[in-house]
Amino acid sequence: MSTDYDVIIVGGGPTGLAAAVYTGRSLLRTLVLEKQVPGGQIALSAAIDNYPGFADGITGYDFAEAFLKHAKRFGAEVLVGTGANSIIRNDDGFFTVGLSDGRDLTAKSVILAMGRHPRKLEVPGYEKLFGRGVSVCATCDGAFFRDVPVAVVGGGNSAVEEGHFLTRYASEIFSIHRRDHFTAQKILIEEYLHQPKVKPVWNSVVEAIHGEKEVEGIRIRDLKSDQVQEFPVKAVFVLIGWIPNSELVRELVDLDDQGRVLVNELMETKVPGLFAAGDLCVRPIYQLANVVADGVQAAVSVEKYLEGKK
Amino acid sequence: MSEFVVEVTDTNWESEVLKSDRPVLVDFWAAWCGPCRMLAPTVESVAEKFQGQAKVVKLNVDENVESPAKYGIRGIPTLILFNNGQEVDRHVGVPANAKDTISQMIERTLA
Repeated sequence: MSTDYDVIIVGGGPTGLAAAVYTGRSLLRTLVLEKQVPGGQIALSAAIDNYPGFADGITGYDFAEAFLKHAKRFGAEVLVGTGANSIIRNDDGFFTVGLSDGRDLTAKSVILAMGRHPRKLEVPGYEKLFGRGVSVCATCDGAFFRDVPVAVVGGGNSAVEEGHFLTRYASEIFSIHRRDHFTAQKILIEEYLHQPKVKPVWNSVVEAIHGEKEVEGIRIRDLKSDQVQEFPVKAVFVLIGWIPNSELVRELVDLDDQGRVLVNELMETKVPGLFAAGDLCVRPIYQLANVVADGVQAAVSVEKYLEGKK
Repeated sequence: MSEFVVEVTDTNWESEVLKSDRPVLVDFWAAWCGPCRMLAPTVESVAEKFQGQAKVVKLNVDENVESPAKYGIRGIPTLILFNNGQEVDRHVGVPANAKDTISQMIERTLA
């Protein structure tokens, strides 16, 4: 029995596109489904400074473009703007992937590379004011807040990097974190706290975001003193962690308590022919270089799996 | 270059968007916005799909201040659908299943 593709890769971020470079180059009929934009989260990055080999750094956009071009060069088809709505393993061991445009396509194997999305802040005002001052992307939205005070919520790499980017525009950056120190990489923290515009607000959480048509301020609670304070910021950039995009495969594979897909070192899930890689999975670290490597490993594992089936 | 997506400005906003006899989808974007540029080919493919039925235009928020301010644009990409001069639908950020989601926005208004 024939299938439409040898492998369908769900997700066109760095992991999925890296896999596509390898499967394409191995002459496997490859389809990548990217429901949003090629590059995924990395396309939102203003500057990538830690991808080995790019000594001067590279913008997320340029990186994503180059990666897309590379995947296409070896024959992978990349469907942009269309995602997977369902993945079924059939009795013959092949997979049927239901697309968001209504089509069903079949493949001998599938690589899951759906990545993750930013965690929401569960406070009043977040949903209502999203895109009206509430943001998860400083690169996209920072320029709308020139010479006004803004808040950044979170203490990891993303929060510190995005906060640093906002110093280009904002007059003041209240950097709100529930602990008494940031957990980002040391070099990032040092550069960030060195910026005169950055005002850290330790041991504190956001309780509410005010405003009707746009953000007019936030209410902060100090967890130690229990005191409440109002900050008249015009924007709130929320970078408090990530949720894996594993909803689609909840019934199919094993997940950990945070919803991340469990894989072995060959990127195999418990389902033969179904592989998973990158940010979607339980990984020791979540850096660009190692999620790219994950994609490569998944591609090679697919190749071996298909050889074994011949 | 986009063949099906027309660039509009504050100056021709009224004639191109508000007074259009067909629904108009406006893509608010800027050159520094990576996701906006990444989304552009998808918007282009939607424009081609709805040729003759709906208009798809883009407005650069760096070069045009008035219209983004009037519609409270505080993040891009933002897509707003207008019909008979009125805003009927809006999406901030890159939509999931972007091509299908944007197509459905237009289809709902055409129906």
